[in-house]
Amino acid sequence: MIEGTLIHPTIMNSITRAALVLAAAATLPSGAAEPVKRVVMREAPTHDQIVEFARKAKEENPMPVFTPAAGEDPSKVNRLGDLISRSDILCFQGRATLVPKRAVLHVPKSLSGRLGMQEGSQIESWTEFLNANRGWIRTVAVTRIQAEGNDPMPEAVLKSFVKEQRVVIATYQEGPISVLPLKVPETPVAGEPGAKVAAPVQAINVATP
Amino acid sequence: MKPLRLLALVALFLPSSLLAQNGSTFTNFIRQVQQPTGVEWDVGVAVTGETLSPLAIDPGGARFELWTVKATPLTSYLLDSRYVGTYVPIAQVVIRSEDPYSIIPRTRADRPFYVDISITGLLSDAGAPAASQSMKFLHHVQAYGPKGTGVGIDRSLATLDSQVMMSENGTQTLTYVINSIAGSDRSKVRGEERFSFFSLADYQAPESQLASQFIQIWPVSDGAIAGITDNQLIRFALPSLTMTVNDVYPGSHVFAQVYKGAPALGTVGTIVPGSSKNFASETVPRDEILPIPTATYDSVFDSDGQWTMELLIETPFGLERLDHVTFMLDRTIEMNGTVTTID
Repeated sequence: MIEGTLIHPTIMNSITRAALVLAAAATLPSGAAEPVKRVVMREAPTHDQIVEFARKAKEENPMPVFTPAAGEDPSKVNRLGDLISRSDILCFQGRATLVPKRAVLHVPKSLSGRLGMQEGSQIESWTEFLNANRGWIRTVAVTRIQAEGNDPMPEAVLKSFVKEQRVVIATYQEGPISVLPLKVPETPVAGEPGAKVAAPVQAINVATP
Repeated sequence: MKPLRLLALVALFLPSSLLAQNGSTFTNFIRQVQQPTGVEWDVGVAVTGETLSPLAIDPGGARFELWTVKATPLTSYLLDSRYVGTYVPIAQVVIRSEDPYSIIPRTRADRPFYVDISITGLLSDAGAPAASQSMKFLHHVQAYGPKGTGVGIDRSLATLDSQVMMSENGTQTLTYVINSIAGSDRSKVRGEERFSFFSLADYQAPESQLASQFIQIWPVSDGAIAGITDNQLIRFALPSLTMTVNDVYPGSHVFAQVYKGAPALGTVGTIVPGSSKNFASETVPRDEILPIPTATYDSVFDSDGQWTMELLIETPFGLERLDHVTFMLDRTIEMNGTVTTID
């Protein structure tokens, strides 16, 4: 007959630990303990610690004092308009791009569907889009003064739009640019000193009158 | 007045959080808006790089706007804008933190950050236009809300924390020892702080942004080890564990380690297999649950005795302990037998 007795784990721990110490002592130089590697580490900071740190830091290094400025928040008063609302969209075969409003000078009826975003299209830069769609887009270079409406575009260029079957985009240095309505000089009406009439407005900006 | 031809150097640095949003692609546009005429011109630029604007800037100046546009749904995001004028001073804002991430300045709720401001071109001539003699420096704060990431927020709702006048050229560094984002638990605030220079209004243009920069503030991480309790005696089989980490700071590395003995902060132990998770590519905080089955980590315990397990996070601000548990391991069965015979 065999009788078994379970030794209490803590006793065995002591035995095992003693054995490990002996084993370690056999491999390490006499008197040396296994070194414990240490690194810089801290507990994650708590709310209270952060508050206390901030209080002390502000006392020791106060912020410089500047003269308060009057008036409303300029970032809200002069908030910029959204880019899309200030742009016309050209779109064809899943590709689309934005140009400033008033940059589209002419759209033939047959291509009117290419203005506006179509579902599923990807936005591209103007250069990429133009390179892929030169067949139906014509660019017309304008000067800065023409873009400002201070100088008319050449009559021949404007007349060429009549039979143009491509979409015409005003560009400056190859980038699309808005062309403001021509600022016409005000002329007095004969017989009525001081009275003024406006000359006919140049017929451009068909997409965004 | 003869138009002054200013060469505007335009550079693009897009937030990766925007680029990655919903897997959509974004296309960038730089629009130059002439003042006061309102003529708008699109500057052709690559995704990254620089270019000189050939469009001469009128006496009224011009505003350069950096936008990124997403197709579905069709949305545009204003990333930056700068007003440039003939007599308008030049201002720069650079925000630094301890986090080396370069796309958007960012830091953690408990860490300081530094705002380097630089002003040149201010005039001291009493007869000069007011817009050339001083400018406004604004500080806005905006909380993202619980678990918010800042994507798609309406920045017009940011709170104006301060608005001061700057009337001297030079550079200086403003040290913000702690953020100003609203929140009752200072370790868990998340949001952004924006520092901007605005020109003063005059007959040529309204108050316009000269420079702006923002920093994102992310919460302090917390975590817990579940499956073992403090001082638990473990016999035979180790339990399955679950590591839970919340608000993991982007760019961090989370892991658990064990070592023999009582807890001692700073001890280097053995990494628990299956517990290591790298968040280097993240741009916003993440929550993560890491299940650690017994079979994956049993091998790290090479002897019985007292052991400590720690859940750690390596952040740009250093190595931190999120949780720890100490337990007794005893898996040895000792048989003590005697043999007797009955004659």
